[in-house]
Amino acid sequence: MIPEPTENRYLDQLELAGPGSPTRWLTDTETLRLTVFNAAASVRVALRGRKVDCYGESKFASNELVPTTNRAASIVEVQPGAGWLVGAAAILLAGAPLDGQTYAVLSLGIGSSGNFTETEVLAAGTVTSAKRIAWPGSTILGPLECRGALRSIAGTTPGAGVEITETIPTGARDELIAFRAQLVTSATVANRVAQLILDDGAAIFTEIAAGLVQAASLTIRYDWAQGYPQPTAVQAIDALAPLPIGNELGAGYRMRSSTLNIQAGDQWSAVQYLVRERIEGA
Amino acid sequence: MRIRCKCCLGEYDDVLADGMRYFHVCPPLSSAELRELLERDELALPDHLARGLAAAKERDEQFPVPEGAPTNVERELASWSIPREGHRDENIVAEGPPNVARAMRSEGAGVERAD
Repeated sequence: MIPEPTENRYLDQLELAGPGSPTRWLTDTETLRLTVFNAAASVRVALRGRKVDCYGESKFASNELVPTTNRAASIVEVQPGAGWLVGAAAILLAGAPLDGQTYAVLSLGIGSSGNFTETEVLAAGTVTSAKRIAWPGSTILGPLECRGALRSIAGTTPGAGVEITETIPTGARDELIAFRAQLVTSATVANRVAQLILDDGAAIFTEIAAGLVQAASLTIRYDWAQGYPQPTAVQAIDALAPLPIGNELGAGYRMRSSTLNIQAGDQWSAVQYLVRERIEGA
Repeated sequence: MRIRCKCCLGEYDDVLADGMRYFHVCPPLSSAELRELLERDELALPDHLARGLAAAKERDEQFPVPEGAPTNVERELASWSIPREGHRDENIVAEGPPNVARAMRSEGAGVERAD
């Protein structure tokens, strides 16, 4: 008769994991879960675990996950069964996310799927093709504890007489480093004053005028960037203005133009901005 | 794919050059659109905005700005954030269980191919 596995009976089998290695006893009902918050395309992540069972045999458990690209939580689980958990890891199998675009959490809990109750977090952090998270070894890092991915984004070209609005996506946290757009004014006589507004989706907290008046029938390129000095016009075709250093914009926050005296035929275009983006998760 | 929003007529790529998804959100009404709607008396203003507009008009009458400079009314309109009818917000709702598709916040007036 095969004896029931218990924690005490098989303590000696721990030698297989190596002297001094941290291990954790798993019961039959415990689940190893990988939760991934991802924004990058074509990402596939493996959840792998290794246990030593009641006969001293090393056994692998593995599952794969193709996470959504909308920064919402995607999960995959394995139930290794009774034994000593000696290792677990989240490993990128496909895709090329930058640091900050794919965040993974390795955890243990009772039950599975909708009845899962998380009891312990083993490791957490961002993963890339060169960076895994593993237990034991990795620390538990929050999703914002990374450098973030540099992204140069082409924004929406608005209709004529309409302002630019770019919104931080759900589950993201961005630092706006630079923002560029071009305004072509119609023949309607008026002095336009371009401003860049940062708001929380409703209330304005920063408004930066470009320091240049743009009359009718002109094309001017506007640049807002961290590190620029006070608003400056360069040869009347390029306007430079500063952005708050180290700003952080949460999900739903907006970067938008607000043009005093904008006319129905005025056209904003060539919207391009540089952000350092991290995942907060949704 | 190049997309045109039927509400704001903005054009954008649904997937960006770096392979990441782009989530379009319609801009609020610009001051040019607000002026037009106010002239046609087609904009119902909440009390606080109506009061702000009346105060700006009064300031402009009492202390006229130099020729060509933005008026107080223009500054007031530019500070508003009034969503347009049929407003589209492609961001997903923030809350929901894992592994379940999240709904878009607002389909709005929809989109069409622009290319």
